[in-house]
Amino acid sequence: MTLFASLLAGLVFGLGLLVSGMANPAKVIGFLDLAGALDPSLAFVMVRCGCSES
Amino acid sequence: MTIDWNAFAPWPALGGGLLIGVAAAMFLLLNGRIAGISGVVGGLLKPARGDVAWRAAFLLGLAIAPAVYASFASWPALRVEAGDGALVLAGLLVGLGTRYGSGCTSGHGVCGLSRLSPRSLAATLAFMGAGFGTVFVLRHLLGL
Repeated sequence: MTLFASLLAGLVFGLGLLVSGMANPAKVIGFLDLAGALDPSLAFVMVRCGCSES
Repeated sequence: MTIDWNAFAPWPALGGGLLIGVAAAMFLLLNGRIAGISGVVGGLLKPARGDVAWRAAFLLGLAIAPAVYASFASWPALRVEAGDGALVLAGLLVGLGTRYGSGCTSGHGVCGLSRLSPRSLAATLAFMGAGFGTVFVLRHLLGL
């Protein structure tokens, strides 16, 4: 049971990374580039992660 | 600071964040463990009895995620915009840093902050700050 739960958690986690765009380095760099053209999407990812968990 | 509205995608970000948060909460509730990817991988390098199978199962789930994602034909195609060399070097640095910092974006940033851990707040501020600084130096000072 815990093995299946682990597998499922890993799968859902991975899908979350892919859906949010965090699996793409260019997207992450866009978030970290304060002095250039900033893409604030990833802030939404982090906030949403925290809200859904707590 | 300017905002890149063309790249800004709040709905996928919120949806993906929800999935990651649900996965981390599920892992904590069902397994009683923190879903920190670096820690899960790190534990496999020094295997202890009875501590290997759940790590392997979690990583297998993570590894098959792109295939499952691709099976949803209507979802946007996956893009990984970085050179192979950059990925290897960045992965190595992330691996070193997460061992020194006892965690990564998932363990500290997602799980730790949700648990109001001061240590995770310090780690998250440190690696986000280092990320902002690194991109500034590479892009705007060195022009890479």
